Amino acid sequence: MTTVQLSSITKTYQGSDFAVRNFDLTIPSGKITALLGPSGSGKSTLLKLIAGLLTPDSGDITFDDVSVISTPAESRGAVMAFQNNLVFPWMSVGENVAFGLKMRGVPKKQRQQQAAEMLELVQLGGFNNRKPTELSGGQQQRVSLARALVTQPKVLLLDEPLSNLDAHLRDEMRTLIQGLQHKFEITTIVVTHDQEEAVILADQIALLFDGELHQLGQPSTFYQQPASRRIAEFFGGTNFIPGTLIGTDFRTIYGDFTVREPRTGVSHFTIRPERIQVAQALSANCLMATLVESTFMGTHYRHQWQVETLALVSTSVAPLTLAVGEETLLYFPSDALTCF
Amino acid sequence: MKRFSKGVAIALIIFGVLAPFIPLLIWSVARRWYFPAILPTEWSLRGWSYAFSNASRLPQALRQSFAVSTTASLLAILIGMPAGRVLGLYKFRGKTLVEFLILAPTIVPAFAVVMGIHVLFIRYGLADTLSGVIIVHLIPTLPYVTLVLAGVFANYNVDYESQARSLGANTWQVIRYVMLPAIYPGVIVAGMFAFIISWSQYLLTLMIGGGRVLTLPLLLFSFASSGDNNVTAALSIIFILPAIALLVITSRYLTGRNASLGATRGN
Repeated sequence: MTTVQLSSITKTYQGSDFAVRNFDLTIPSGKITALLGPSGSGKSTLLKLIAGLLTPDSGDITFDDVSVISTPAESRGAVMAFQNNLVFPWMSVGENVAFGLKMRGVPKKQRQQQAAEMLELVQLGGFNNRKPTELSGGQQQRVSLARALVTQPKVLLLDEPLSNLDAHLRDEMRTLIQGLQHKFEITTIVVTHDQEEAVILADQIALLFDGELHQLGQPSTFYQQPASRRIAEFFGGTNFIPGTLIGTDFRTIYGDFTVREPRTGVSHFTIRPERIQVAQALSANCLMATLVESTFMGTHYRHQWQVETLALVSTSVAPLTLAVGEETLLYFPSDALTCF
Repeated sequence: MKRFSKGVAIALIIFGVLAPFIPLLIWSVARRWYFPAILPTEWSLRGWSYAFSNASRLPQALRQSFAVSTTASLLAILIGMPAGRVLGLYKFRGKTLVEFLILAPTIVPAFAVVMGIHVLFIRYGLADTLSGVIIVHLIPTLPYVTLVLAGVFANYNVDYESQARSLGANTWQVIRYVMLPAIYPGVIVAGMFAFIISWSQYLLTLMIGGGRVLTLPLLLFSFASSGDNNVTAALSIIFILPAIALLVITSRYLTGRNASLGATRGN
């Protein structure tokens, strides 16, 4: 159980945009925190800084209030599992998993046994003598995870742990990571560019753009209360309605909407596609819209609407009883509206 | 058709490699072999028995040749590995110039270099010594070792080292358990190049060794210049054998195009 704290971390590269400036973040103990952001947002830099594979230009990193800035990577206790697995091909699977123990001088018998137990935990029991080249990508990923966990790290750092897996394996790996993380109660930091990966894995998400922290919170807040249009768009938001907010009354050229709470300096509100409903009767927060297209997506229907010049998207589990080109009233529940 | 042409190619390569040995083998057991006879008119094992007699100084030459070539190749790898790593992994200003300078000894005649170096070697007491010969053999071997290893490092994923460090390996452990196992086929190839180049050095050994250091090529040349074809042929075969053995042992580390390259070096 280790709390990781980053204080005014700055790391810049000569002739490159990849940079982190004055970055502050507290990573809670025993939880999974995702560092989420598009490529070039500085998330991988942060991960390597925490691992000790990079040294910051300035600022401090503490594990449980003890600075680790001068502790080299090999003795820091923050173990990183790289994105492309990097299972050493010149070693057997068992030797790979036992690698960290060997480096710490654990006797051969003992480290072989621990490696075998850890392989069991990642559902690769009996794979000790296999060659890494015989394994599938998903299996290699699990070897990489076992190899990191066997050293009992204070902090587990995972670089895009699900990104190379197909949907089925993704779910399996997610369950495995969460299960093991819970079992060992390791403070875990996941770096990913994929918002879905962050949402399904993490207890907390730190969203980064251009080396800066833009929003920190539970995964659901990024859907329900995105802090900016950019964040809403990153999480798949498409409905942005311009207007002005007076009190809790959001005035637009299409009509007026009541929002949850008054805020200042806002110019848009957004609503998740799944929260827009077809209104049963005329009420507040309603808008007349024309159905442009309705598409079956497998698990739901996706509808495109047109309100004058404004395009909106909504989804529903059941098909609409409406033909393309017909008009209907759409209802926007006020608790689903977020202004920014 | 493709299989046929591949078979022809292999046959040609084998013939090309083996053909030069045929006259050599015949010469080593010939007594009288004059034009226009296709085969010797009289046979004799004199060449071989002389080569293996005490008078030929073959044991000394073999011993010193092995000592020089083994040590020189190991040193060349030791020095060439860090250089190859930097050239293979990093981009830096003046890299092309550095690469050219490393290659330069292969273009500049060894004689020109050794004339200048000889004075220094005398001053530091390295002339006429085994150590001096070993050091001077680094001139022709280092460029090849460095460039082969630069190629190896260019295909090496350094992230393996970060991964190992993160798992608790210190610098020496990273070298021992990650870098060396990852690149060792390339190191073997580079070492083989160095050994064969050093093994066939004549001029450098003669100049720096001053006749005190007797390697196999020196012995071979002395018999060749005395016109004793039988002994020369026998010694030539002995001279070639280690190179062929080395090639066979290391051939599994050579692939495709490189294998044929190694074969021509072996001659």
